[in-house]
Amino acid sequence: MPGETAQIVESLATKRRVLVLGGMAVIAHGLSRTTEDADIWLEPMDSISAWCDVVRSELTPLAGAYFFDVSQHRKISPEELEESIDLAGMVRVGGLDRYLDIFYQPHLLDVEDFDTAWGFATLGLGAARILDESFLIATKVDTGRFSDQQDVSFLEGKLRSEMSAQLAVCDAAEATRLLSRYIDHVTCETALTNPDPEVRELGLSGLRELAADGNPFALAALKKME
Amino acid sequence: MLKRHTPSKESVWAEWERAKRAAKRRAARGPQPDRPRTPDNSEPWLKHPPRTISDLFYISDKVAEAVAECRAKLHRL
Repeated sequence: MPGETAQIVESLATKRRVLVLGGMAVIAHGLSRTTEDADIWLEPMDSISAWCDVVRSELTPLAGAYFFDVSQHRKISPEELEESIDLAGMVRVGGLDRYLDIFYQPHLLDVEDFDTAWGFATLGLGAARILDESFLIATKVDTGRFSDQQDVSFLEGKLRSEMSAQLAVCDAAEATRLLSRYIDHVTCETALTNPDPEVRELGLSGLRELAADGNPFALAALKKME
Repeated sequence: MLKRHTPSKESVWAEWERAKRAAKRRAARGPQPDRPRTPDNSEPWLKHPPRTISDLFYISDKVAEAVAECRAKLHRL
């Protein structure tokens, strides 16, 4: 049924905290790209079994829907869900208008990161939230997929542009928060233009850190300041 | 706990090389008169920011259609 996957995600998000990730999240952040499936991170619960119970109760009643273990490349029964989640950290739901990948633990993130990721998310879609750029990047590095490299490049550019606008004028607390998520030579150099000396110091220490790692822009900027 | 992200060394060095080449081209051209920048003439896929999951799928489908249309028109020279 057209729109079925979207309806399921939106319905689930009214009952549980749901973060949208993957290609859909990248589109929500502004990149015009295609995606074949929906990826969501369903909030952790007391145990994997409790988490699986919620997934089963939402999906099992749907006609034609089935669970698929992507690590074993096979359909699984609802009773095998715990084992599959333990193995792959996610389950694919097929038989809908699009694949729906439900993550218990996304790539390179910890289950414990969910609350922080939820707090950092500033974009919402109905009751669901969109994973913030820095968390989204974390799920896309070192995957070896070309589309993920393109996404990372887009998200880095977006972070650089948006953070630079803020770092030029924000206070030290906000600058500390921003620079705890993402850092590059442009964001650090922009912090150096802030009227607050504490923010400028943060920018300078960031540049020194990047220079120590061999960043040529940071090395050139520090040399110019000597 | 999520680690702070910084662009990879490879991408930073690629950006550095691009910036150096651009600076060389600018220097070779010499001073240029100020020209108005071409305004952004791109049209958003939706008239409003995405509000629903369906909006995101709509954008994805439209991009896929546009890519397919463009590919259909392409021919090898």
